[in-house]
Amino acid sequence: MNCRDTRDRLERYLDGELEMEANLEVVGHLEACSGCASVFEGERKFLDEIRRHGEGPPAPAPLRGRIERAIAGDASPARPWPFARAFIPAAAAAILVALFVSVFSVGTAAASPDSIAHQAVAWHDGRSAAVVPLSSGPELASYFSSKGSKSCLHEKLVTAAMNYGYQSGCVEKSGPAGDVTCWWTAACPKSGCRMTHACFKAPPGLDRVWPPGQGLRTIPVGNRTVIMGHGNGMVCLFVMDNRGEADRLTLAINTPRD
Amino acid sequence: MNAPDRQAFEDLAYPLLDSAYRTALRMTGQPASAEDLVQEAFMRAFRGFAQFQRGSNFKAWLFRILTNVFLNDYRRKSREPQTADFSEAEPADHSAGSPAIRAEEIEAIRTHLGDELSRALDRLPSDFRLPFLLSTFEGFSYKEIAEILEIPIGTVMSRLFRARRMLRSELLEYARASGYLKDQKPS
Repeated sequence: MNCRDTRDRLERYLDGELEMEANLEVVGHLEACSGCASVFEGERKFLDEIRRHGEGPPAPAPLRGRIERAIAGDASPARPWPFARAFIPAAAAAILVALFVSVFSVGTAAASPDSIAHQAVAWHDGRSAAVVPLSSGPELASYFSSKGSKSCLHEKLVTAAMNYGYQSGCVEKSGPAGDVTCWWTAACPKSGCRMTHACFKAPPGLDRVWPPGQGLRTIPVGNRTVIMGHGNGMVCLFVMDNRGEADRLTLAINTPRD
Repeated sequence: MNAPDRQAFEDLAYPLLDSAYRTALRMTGQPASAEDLVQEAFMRAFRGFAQFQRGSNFKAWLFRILTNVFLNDYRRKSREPQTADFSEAEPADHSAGSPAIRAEEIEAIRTHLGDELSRALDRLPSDFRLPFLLSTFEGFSYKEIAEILEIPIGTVMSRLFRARRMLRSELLEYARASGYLKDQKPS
């Protein structure tokens, strides 16, 4: 076996991919040829250094819990994700339009309230994007922050007035308005009803068809109902499972709290 | 899925969490994206666990799912261009004529290039980075990598060997530019 044939097998030899016979031929040649032995030794040390420096960190400790919760939620049709019990006093939430807090990039897609509502319902029913199980306001806030975004959470409204528990969050680069959208979902452990909330920068042109600050819009889409607010350059909406829950939410929004 | 199946899945999957996360981190370059990617892969693996053939290689099966989620859901959304298939035009004798890496070059890498290695890995196009990660850090065989990435074994080899050469050349160039290696031209 000559040097060229031996070096042709260098990678496969170091990766343990050679058949036994070919492997023995390489070993035999390396014992006799210091030139090839030095090439092989250098390559082996190079790969050792790469492995030593480049292995990377272990998984963050909370990741396993997140996956376990997601799997627990997935394993049963009853969706037994841990429902939020935390109640954290927040500033009074009078109406939705006063609660838009977000920093997003410039939107590009033209949209109407109806088209936004349809897309939000599609997301509510389809959950096309990967959602992260999150069961409290602080968890959601920290998740959105880790994604460089913010979203209104309406904690008092959702947990105290509606008795829903947060379930999950999701940041999508293209939401109903073609822009970065913060989604979160919550569910009522008693009735099993779900709500989806979306918050995003108002798309260009929306002002013309729906001037901001004019109160909430309620848009039925099939069995679902979308309740939407527009103000301060932001759109924020809820998708409710049915009309009854939508009415309950509207009443809760319009009921002054402390 | 019944409880024993779920237990079987967890017994197989959770010991691989660190490996999956490390690979995901190298794929995405972002800790938050890596966590999402791993979670999605584990969820899909759990849902599809009935299709897993007991006794076969679970790690390869899980990493195939991880890779598919990355390639279909993450890379598609990112700006990373698809890599041109120039690697397949490489000659068959990938290593013939490869110059020996010198002792001082190994030493420069060992002592100075930890952070640069990370950056150089991230700069590799994902078509090359994936075979490299799966082979170098996860110890998959060429055949397993071919199955995970659904590419021919010859393509695995050419991309893997090319990735190693690209990495080596980048690191040594950096070492020379930074003064860790002197008076030698790139070999």
